[in-house]
Amino acid sequence: MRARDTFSFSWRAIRGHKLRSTLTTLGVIIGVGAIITFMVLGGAFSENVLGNFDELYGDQPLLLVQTQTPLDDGFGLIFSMTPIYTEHDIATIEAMEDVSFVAPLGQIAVTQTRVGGQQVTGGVSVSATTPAGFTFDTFLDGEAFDMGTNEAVINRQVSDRFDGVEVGDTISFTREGGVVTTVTVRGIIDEDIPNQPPTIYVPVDPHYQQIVETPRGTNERAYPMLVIGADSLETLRSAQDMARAYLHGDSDANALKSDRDTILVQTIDDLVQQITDLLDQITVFIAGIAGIALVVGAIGIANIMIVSVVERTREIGIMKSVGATRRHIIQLFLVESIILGVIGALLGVLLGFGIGALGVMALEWPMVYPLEWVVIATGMGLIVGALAGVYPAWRAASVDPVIALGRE
Amino acid sequence: MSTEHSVIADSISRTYYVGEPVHALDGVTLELPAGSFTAVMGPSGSGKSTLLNMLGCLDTIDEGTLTIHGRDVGDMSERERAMFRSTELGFVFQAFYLMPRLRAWENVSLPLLFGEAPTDGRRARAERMLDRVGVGDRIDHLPNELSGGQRQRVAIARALVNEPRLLLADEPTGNLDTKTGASIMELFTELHVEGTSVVLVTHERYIAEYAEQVVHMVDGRITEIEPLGEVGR
Repeated sequence: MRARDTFSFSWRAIRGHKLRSTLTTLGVIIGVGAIITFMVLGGAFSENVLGNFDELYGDQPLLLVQTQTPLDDGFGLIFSMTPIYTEHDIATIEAMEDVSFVAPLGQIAVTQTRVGGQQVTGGVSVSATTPAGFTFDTFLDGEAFDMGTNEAVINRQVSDRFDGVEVGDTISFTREGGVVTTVTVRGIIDEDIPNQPPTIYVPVDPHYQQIVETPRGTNERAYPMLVIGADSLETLRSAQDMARAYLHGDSDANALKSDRDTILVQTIDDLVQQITDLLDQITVFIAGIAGIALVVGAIGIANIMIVSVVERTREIGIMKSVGATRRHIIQLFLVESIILGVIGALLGVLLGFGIGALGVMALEWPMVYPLEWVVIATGMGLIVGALAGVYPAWRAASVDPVIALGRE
Repeated sequence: MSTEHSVIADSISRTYYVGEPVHALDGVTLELPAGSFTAVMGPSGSGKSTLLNMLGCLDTIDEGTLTIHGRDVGDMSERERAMFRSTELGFVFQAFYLMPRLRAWENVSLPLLFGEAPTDGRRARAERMLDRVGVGDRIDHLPNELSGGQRQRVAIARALVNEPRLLLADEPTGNLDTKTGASIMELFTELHVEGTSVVLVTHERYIAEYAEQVVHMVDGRITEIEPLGEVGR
């Protein structure tokens, strides 16, 4: 039997029962639709979180040093804000070959921020760092602050938040505890990171006062995060290895950190990869749950196909009486089942993209088209159809023509 | 040589187990010459349909040997029997058994789909057959758009499309009125005259009388083979 004949024969059987065929494919449509919807939403979320972060910053020879803290339940990514990286650690790393600078990043907790007559409560973050921290930043205006001054560098988001802040303007912020600090804007940087809050950067000296007692018995400033600049992208990995070896070895940070925590020394690529992997895991997990609908869909196809075999017993008998072999019959029913599965999957892909697009629009996330999943979904439809069709096709092939064409 | 014979049945038996054994065929011995026209008559349960199923290779023999066109049918695998059916045999049923969703020409060309013969020009071949049996103007009709007589003609065209040497018919006029039934029997007579062997099961005496001989059956055995003389009156 030629493939074209098999196909057109099976297709006709499907078209002969439009309502039933539609209901049969519904299970697969919903299953595949759910999977695609979650893949779209997951992809869009990932896109929303990361944006073109990697493209913008991936070529900068930077290392981020952070402390990862495990979650008690579930999976996720949490960075500890405990200040464990001491001045001593910074100086040690800075002295390493291949390292051009080490900039600490410390958080200063503020409650309110004021520019001229405008005051906002919360929503603006204040970080302490050193001028080296701006090595790879793009200044829209001005330049980095000097250490030991009341100068600040702000990102564009601050300017947007207060309807325009310019170099030379003054900003006041109230720390937790009520102390008010006033700084003068020295530069404005462009930080094109998704969800980056308005941030005011101030020099650690004199604004950052987190002091810890080091294992060596001294009292030093300590920070929850460091940014290490390597000499070039070529030396980035060796700088990373050295910094990591030290921080995992006899650094203050290693002694100060909690036992459960892990010190991460990551390139921008590493970080993006880590976040992408995590989001992918979550997306696949949720899509896997949606995949249960697909199993239900497969059972639906099998169910209807069995009914269809019983109903078409006579037709099977006729085909056998004119020379159809078991193989012919199996072929016809299997192809029918596979067509149902594939059509269901294709419609499911459309439905998934539709619902996904609506969801993405409502959440104002960027739309993504996980095209590899279209291929995977279609493949799944094919497999579902084939698996669901095996038993019914076998039943059909086993029809006894004498009984099917029962006379007497 | 057995090829002069269309069918040689040597004490074939078939027993069904429906609670207790039923001897549907109980040692039937029968020789049908090539090109013969035979009617099989008998009351319900006499085994005449079982005999037709055996000749049609739809059912397997428990005992005895059955040779059709020189081939020992009892030795064949299921697949071989299917191939044999599509090339050597044509079936005509009382209830026509057309595929409801297929057009007349598609029904006729159905055996060509499963056979090994080249499938080019299927439609042309089906049209020729429909022409031959007198429904050349119903090529694109669906079965439910045809009268009973037309449906049976389409079914006969289907049985003939692979040019089988043996045509098997089970009460082919049973669902038709007398006049239509007579025209169908004229068609069988023509096919017989052209050289096709025909075996026909019926319980109507006047239908059986179109044949050259009548095989009478009771309780799975042949009781009498009654010659009727020359056909084509």
